[in-house]
Amino acid sequence: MAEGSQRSAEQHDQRFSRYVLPELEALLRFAMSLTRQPADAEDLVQDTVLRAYRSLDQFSGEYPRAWLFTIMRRANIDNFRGGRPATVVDADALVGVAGPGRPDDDPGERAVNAEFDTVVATAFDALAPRYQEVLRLVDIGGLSYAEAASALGVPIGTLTSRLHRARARLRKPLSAAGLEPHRQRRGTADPHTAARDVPGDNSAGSAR
Amino acid sequence: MSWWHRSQQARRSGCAEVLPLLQTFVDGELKERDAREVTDHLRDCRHCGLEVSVYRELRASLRRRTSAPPSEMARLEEFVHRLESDPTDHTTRGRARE
Repeated sequence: MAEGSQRSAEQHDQRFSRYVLPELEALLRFAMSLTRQPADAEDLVQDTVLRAYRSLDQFSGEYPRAWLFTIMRRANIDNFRGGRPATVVDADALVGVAGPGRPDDDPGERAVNAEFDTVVATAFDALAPRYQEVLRLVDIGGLSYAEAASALGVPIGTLTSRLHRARARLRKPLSAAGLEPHRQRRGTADPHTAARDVPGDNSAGSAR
Repeated sequence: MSWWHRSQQARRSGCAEVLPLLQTFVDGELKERDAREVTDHLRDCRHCGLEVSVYRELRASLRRRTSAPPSEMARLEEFVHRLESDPTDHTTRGRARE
């Protein structure tokens, strides 16, 4: 009896090591995108890891990162309802934080990068929640289309449609600020210009 | 029609086919064969190459914004190890910060 219980505990720990531990960094990044404050992000990851630890037995093993992100989104909503700081809307909070490997040796390039980041951050904060969400899952969280669609409970067609629309909305102010790479436009016949016209959000969804 | 115009037209029609695939390409979601075709096209087409770089820069910018200090990561690893060694110890929860 005790042996069986010990084996079950070992299996639980193995699943924890396999599904949760490799995702710690992705969880922290995702939490940062939700809270914007490192201290709150750390709390949110701890909360998520604890919840995952307790519900590990019910997890099917498919798309662990998407499963963890779903837990985190719920935890963040619970925190918000409980009056704790959940999603802090502060466009400037982390703009200009240099990530590893950022090419910031050249002061001119650094200034352009900072401006680029500021415009992207402001545009991101102005997006509707459903567009922010797909960018969080795919661009920040690194989920595949299938994983992100599973986390959101939408068809892949809906996911990609929202993603393209969200990116198009981030690009608009960049283009207006002259921060996109220059390209010669030759009227509407230029497919590079036409390609940015993203069709509306396909809520019915269709497979790619 | 001159040779130059014909080659420009051919390139542009290639772009029209490739452009809708670029985001999927950047996301690593294209099938291998399509990804090879896009890669071939990008070798010759600076315009589509710029499109790809815009999407990559957007992603990099979003990720820069969400990078956390290494100290947070170190504390989280410590938290997880405590949780693994004694799951019943609820004092594991909480920040180790001052």
